[in-house]
Amino acid sequence: MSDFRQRLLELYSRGPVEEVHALNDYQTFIKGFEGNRTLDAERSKMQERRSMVDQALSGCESIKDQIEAALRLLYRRLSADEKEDCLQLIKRSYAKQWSAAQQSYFESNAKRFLDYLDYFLSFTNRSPAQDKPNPINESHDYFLRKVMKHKPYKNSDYIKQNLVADTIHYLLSGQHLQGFHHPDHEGDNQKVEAKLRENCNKAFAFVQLVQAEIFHDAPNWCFFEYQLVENEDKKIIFIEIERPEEDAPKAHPNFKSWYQASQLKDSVKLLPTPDYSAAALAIVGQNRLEIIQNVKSQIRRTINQIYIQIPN
Amino acid sequence: MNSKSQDLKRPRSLPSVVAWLNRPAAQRVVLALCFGVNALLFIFNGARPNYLAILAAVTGLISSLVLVTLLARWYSHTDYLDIRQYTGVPTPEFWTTYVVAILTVVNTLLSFFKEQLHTTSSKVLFSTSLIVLLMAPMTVRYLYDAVRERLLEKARADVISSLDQRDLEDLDVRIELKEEKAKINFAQNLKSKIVLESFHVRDTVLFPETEWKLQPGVNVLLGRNGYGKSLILRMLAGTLQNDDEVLKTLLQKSGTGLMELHLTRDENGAVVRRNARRFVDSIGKVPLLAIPDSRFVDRSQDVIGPEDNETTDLIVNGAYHFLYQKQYGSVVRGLMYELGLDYWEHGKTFDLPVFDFLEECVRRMTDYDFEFKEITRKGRTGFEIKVRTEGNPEALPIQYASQGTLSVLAMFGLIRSYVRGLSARVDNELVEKGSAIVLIDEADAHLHPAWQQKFPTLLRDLFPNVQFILSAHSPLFVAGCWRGEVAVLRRVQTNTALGGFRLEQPDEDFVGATPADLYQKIFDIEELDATYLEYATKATIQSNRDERIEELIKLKRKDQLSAKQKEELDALELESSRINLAANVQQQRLEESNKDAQIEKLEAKILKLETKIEEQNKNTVS
Repeated sequence: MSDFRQRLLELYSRGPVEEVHALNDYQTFIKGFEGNRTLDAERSKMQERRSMVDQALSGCESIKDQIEAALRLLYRRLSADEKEDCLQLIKRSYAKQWSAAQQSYFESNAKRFLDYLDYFLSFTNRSPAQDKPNPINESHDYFLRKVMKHKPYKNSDYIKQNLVADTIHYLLSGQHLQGFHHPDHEGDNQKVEAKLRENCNKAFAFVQLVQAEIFHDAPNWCFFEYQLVENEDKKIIFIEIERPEEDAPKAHPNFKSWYQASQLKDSVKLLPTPDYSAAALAIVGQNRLEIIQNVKSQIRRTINQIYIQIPN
Repeated sequence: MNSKSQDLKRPRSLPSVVAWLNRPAAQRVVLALCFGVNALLFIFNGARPNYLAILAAVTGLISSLVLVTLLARWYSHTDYLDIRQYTGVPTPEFWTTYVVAILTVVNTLLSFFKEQLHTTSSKVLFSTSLIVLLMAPMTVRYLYDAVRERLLEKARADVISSLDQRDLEDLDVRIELKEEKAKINFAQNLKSKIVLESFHVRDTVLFPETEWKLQPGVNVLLGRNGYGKSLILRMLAGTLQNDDEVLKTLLQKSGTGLMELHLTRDENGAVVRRNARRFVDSIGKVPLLAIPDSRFVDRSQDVIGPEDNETTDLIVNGAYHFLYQKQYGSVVRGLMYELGLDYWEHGKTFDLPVFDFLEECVRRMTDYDFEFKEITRKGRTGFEIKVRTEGNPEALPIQYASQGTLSVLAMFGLIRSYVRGLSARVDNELVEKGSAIVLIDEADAHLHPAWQQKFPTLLRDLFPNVQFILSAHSPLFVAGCWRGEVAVLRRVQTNTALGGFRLEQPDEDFVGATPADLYQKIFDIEELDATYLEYATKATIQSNRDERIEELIKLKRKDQLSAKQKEELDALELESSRINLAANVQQQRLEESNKDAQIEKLEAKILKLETKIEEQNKNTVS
């Protein structure tokens, strides 16, 4: 952090913008560097960040509301620098009036909000039909074409990729949710593993696409990803894109419990739409709503839990 | 020094005496004299009178001056000169100066230790030791180079002499086969539909490691100046064109460098891979039209003549000018000449698809009328093309159209001509449906912002089967682009000195995005200018400005304001109005950002109510 930024952070932590500008320390500091464009730029940013913090946190009815407002501010899509400054300003001004428990709750959650993902999308590109279109893409073909009609997939995409995953990611991204969708698991396994682990940690919710293929071979990346969150305090959302046969999990003893977890009642189901028909059109609409309402609200609820659990 | 390095030589002026000494002939004469005098003095050291000591000092000074000249010359050319001339294999001037300098040192020391060195043998021993000591570094270096050179020559001669006639024939056959294979591959690639899927580079100039996922339609690459936009396009073009000459200069020498291109040829996957030394996987030269950033037409010439240069054949050399950074004017003139030929060979009519197409392009892009009006023959082979543009009732030579219009004509005309050349179909109406790969560097150059916004969409509409790879500065270029079509070059955040750049592909659509959104998302450009920042800071500084203004206004009302005070009042009022303006802007920005806070507060209220309802429901059930 530059010296200017550090000093400005210290000054703007002392109170609302107008009060800070009236301080002798502020006046001396600014006059000492009059004409310095770097200072002008840094100062303008810091003043805006302080105003942003005050707008969000002032007028709250209770401390709990104030902490919620602070966390909501950090949830905004701001740059890393903006978030860091806002966090420091909150900690050095408002947080001083919070209880130790509230401060500690805020600090631990604020860290997550500094660099987060709303969801981590787990799926497989594996296909039982080599060199032919992946059956999972064919079974949802009309859904894919209808949602992604602005950008039709190529034949090679139907063979190589799980386009259902791509389409779901597209729908969720359109709902102002930030997700991790990694279509290729190629290259150095250690690097892939580290990347998956890092992004899984950053995500509030774990969304896994359930289909027969994921329970067939061991080891596989879907199982690895599930294991990362299995015992974590993270929302797991299963989206069934294909009904797996009941004896699907044969490859690994632990697959059974994973399979059972995926078959719970609250999992989201995307019905197949292989071709166009009037019924298929209705199903596409239903599938779309499942994603942009049901899945979205489950992810949002996970984040809301953080606000609800703020200690009084 | 070869002519190439002469051309590249960076001229630096030398002082006149040094410039005179810089002449080889003058140096040799002066050095020979100095050497002779010093050698004599050395031999007769014990008996020499005072004037000879002065002579030694003077000749030593001159030889030092020559040495300085040589070093200055070496320094002035240091970046570009073949430095072996001055280091590994020293020139006669350098050797002579070196020896004279040593002799001068020996002479001086002999004079200094005259009392201590009584006998001739002690003088000889002292002088010899000194000479050997001073000669040692250059001699060792010279011997090392000479031995190394001989060994290398011998090894090369051994290898060549061990080849028998059959080996040489094999080599000839290999070269012939290689050339034949390249021709066959290129012919096959000409007939195939090739679509690029991804380009991965590692350990290259500027790029430690990065990947670019390419879409079949339009791909836009954005980045600041110096971030390597043109460089990565050259890497891609070099890999596609199987061009070793270009690629070897772009890969790091570490040996881990790699360029890897995944593509489909007639829907079948293929890989082109070039490591630090050679192509390890290749499908041969892939046809490519690469249009460089300078698409200028020489405006001083009204007449457009034929271009003899064979590099203007777009099908074979479509990427040549871009890869080798050659002037592109000849290619654009070639296009204009083709237009002239088309007009004359088809009965002097503009009712031809190519003219309709170009007029339509300019109209759609610029929203103003554009028309080809007249093409006349000039001389035996030249043409003069006249066009009518908006605001000009008179038809003017095409060269006088705006740079933006010429750039649009050049780009669309060349793409059409290229696609037509590639397409087996002769039906003109189907020409634009042909497939091809086209790369345009700085495609937004010379285009008005409104044209920039339309350009990618127009390319997509007019050439639906062409894969475009465009670099640009303007974020407006991505307006209307879909997810995956945009790549932005960013600086790698690293603690090492290496740094470099990487590609980032935003995971979002840019359809309907506003210019402000685009600037912020793509280039992280805040719309704050330095003037605003300056006055926004001034707005926070306490001063007696307002009081002073009031004071001066009172004087003004009483007609007691001096000229100096009037000047002061004007300056203060101007300053004050600017500060107020900055403060207003600041307030507006604050109100804008307050919307987010209000939405958050509403969301918090909704959450509270929902939680309350849930609790009430639970209580009712229990």
